Amino acid sequence: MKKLNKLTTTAILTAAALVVFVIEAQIPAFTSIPGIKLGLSNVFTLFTLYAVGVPWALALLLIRVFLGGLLTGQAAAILYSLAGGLLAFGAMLLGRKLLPEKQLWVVSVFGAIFHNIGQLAAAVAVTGTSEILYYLPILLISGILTGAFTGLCAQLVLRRLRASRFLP
Amino acid sequence: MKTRTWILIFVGLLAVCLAAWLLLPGLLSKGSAVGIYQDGKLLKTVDLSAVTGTTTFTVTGNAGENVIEISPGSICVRSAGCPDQTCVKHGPLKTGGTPIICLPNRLVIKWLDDTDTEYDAMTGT
Repeated sequence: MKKLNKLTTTAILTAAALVVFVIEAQIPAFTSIPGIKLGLSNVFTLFTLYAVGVPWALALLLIRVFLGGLLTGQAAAILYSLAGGLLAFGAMLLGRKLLPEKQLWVVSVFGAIFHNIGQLAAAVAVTGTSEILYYLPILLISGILTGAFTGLCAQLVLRRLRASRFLP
Repeated sequence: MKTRTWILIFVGLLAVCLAAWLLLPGLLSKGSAVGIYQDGKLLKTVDLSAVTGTTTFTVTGNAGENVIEISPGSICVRSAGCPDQTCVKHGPLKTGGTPIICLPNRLVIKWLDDTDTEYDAMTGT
């Protein structure tokens, strides 16, 4: 891909990720446990990471975190989002190096797990209450399930696009 | 590693986490004293077994007010100024249950364990 193609592709994917993020934020939480959500916008981060490139995916992530926080009116949540997002990105970057693309869902599970760990660590640091760590087991369960789901979404789209020669 | 290996690893991790989630509440302290914290600082302690009537206690933070309702044997957040309302949906603090947490206002309501109460007795707060 040429640089201009990468720029426009990332811009479109960022816009789509934001729309999905905002729509997902409108769905009422079905549990009283903070931090459990599908994290559908991670499909776009993963897709960009594999189809466009590392710096582009990082840019998408940062823009999504900041604009998403502002658009949903939850600016206070940006700090937690950012801590989780950056830790998850680091984990997924390492996963991308070590695992083949057909195990993208594994990379996504690790991303989701570390996203939840990062958010929890930020919450412990902000409130100074280590009791928040009681939520760690349930957040890991949620991370494994939602991470596998979003990872499979990105993996299937990538495979189809590569098979139809839309992507190299 | 094979995909099947990964599935086994994640299923195992799920089982461990499920066990931890179910067993942890039993390990929490079961006193009747509750502490209300904001920004990690203790604002107020309440001994729920000594409460006779229903009172409210309001905490103000970045995301507005949290109205905490204290009644005999029970404490909960009645209303909150933030959009997600996680602390209100948590319901009352259950025996051995998870703490009530409001992240936007950095508010935590949790059972005090023995070390917390001793500390308070020593400092005289």
